[in-house]
Amino acid sequence: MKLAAATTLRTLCSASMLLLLAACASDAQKISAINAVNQGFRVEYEKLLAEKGTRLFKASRGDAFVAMRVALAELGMHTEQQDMTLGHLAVAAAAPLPLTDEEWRSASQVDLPLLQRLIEPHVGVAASFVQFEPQGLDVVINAAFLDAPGGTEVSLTVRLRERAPPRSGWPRREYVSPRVLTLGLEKIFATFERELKAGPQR
Amino acid sequence: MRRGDANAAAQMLAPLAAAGAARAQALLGRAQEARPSGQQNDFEAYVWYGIAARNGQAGAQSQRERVGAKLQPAEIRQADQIIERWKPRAEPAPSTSNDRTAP
Repeated sequence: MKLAAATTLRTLCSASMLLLLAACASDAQKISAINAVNQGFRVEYEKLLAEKGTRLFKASRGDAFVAMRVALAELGMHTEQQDMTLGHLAVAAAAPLPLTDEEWRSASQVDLPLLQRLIEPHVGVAASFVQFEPQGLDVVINAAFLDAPGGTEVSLTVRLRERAPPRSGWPRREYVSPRVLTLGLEKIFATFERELKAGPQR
Repeated sequence: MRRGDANAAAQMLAPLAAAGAARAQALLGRAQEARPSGQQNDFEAYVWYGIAARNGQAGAQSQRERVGAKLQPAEIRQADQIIERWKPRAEPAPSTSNDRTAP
């Protein structure tokens, strides 16, 4: 019992220390740091989307659309906008969805050194204490469905949208981190393929 | 356009826009932008402005560029592909663009 209390106290102290140290950076420093993060993550994001963001499926556009809508709903995302005529679907949910807490945590740990490396030139030692904060963020996904020879081309893009300001007072980033993006795309396409195979969609 | 009217306007405009009416397409872009906060869809606004511009609607191109400044480069590429391949429906059909019901 004492051990648990001591651990909790230590965790709280560490968290307070992190917030204090992170708060030491000036607003201007934080903004330039987040700009650097967005720029760095954007480079990785563009690279990853080019590799893994678009796939061709042997299915009609209508079937692909419905299967993706069901797959994203299964992953906890709610539909914000859908237009089958355009071939566009927009979904959103509170982060870390469509990943689980555990998936987000482990993926974020992989990306943490990159985050800290990007902000270190702007905030100095405070960079070592910065963590990812999924709280108060929505993950917004746009899916596009285009007729293509042999089936339908499905492309995904992902952005972060602020719902509530973060506790740390740091400005929000817009781009998801690389490992989180990779894991998210793999999970969505895998669920989509399962759903497509399970058809019929309509 | 008042924000409260945007959803109703979008529903009314969608069949006309889908049938190829350039003016309705530009207005639908505007309705997408004017939706209440949290439901705003700059992506679809960009797409409809783009389709309207392709169909010769005056002013649509500048609106497309303005909204495009809020999108990621990857989203712009994605939206541009939709614009390029878009074809008008033979007959107006009921729109699903504002259906927020999950399956």
